Amino acid sequence: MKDQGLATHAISQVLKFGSYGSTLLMLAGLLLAFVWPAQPAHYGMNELVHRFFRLDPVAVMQAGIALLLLTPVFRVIVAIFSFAGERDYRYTWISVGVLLIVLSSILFRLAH
Amino acid sequence: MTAFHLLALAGLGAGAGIIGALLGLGGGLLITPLLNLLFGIPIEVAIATSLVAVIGTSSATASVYVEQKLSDIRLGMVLELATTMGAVSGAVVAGLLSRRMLTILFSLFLAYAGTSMLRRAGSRELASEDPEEYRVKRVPLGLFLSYLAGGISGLLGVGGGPIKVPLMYLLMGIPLKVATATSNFMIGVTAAASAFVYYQRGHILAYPTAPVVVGVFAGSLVGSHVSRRVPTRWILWLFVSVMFYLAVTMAVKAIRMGTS
Repeated sequence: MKDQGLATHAISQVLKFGSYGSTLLMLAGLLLAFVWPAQPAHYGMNELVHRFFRLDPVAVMQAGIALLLLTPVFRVIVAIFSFAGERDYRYTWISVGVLLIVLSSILFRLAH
Repeated sequence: MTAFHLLALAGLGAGAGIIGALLGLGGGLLITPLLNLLFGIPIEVAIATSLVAVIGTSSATASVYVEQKLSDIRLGMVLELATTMGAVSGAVVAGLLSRRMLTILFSLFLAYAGTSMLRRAGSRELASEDPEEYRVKRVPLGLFLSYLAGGISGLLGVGGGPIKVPLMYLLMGIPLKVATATSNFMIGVTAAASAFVYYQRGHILAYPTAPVVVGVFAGSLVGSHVSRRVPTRWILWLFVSVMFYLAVTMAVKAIRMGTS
């Protein structure tokens, strides 16, 4: 195995921050929901940002969910830069490939 | 959605999280059937919820494995090329299947995972393996089976550990500890690839996702701290019995559903 010092530490930090941060946001949203009972809803991007800063419980939970969904994406982006920093171009391109596949999933919009 | 409902959902998540941490499995296998059977949540929403919970637990555990250098990041990245592609395919296929079909497939996967856990309980793990020295074998076969594992993850909202760990351990020559840590490392990206598809369909909702994820997260923290003090074999038998019970219940439900 090659030296993985830089990559391992950066990746580990992203995973830790993303999973704990998003869970805390969801917990905050739940606690807010006990204070201000809210109706189930699903907000679009603009409304989500607007309502988040007004501490709408559902918007806070949804922001936590979004952060959690993006955590693995950040993890792949950090891996790309770490591998490039280690001049390991083969794995840099493999990571770019993984990122492109994950982002391509946003193109699929088939209804049930 | 009442306060009681929120607490019940969080409690369900906590139970799945504790058991998952004690047995080294994601809670995904239990979350979907329990949400569907106990709370009457449509199966596609239950699958989407489970996917998000799976991302949470696997990211938290993987951060520890990566720091300890137990996850083989390079091998993980290579296999992720296949698992993410499979995950997107699985999520797209899930959108084309009826609820009845999804319920049947989930029931079959539960039975498979239960059987493979029983087999693992029967054999002794090789503790003498050196997690530093190994050569990766059969990469093309590994990629193909990883695609299938990703597909099942995207289709049923599970992490796919019961497929990836034996694949890496038995076929690719990876030591069991490294295989487990690397499988865990791959689960987050794999689940995220399919979660984006479910998110756009509107199946990832603040309720039930937030209470379940918070519950699972808290449960797996508790589970990983008590795991040395609890007899795992006893829990394994309990867990496997619950899995088979849920598999049968879901099969019965699917039969009664009629074509929908």
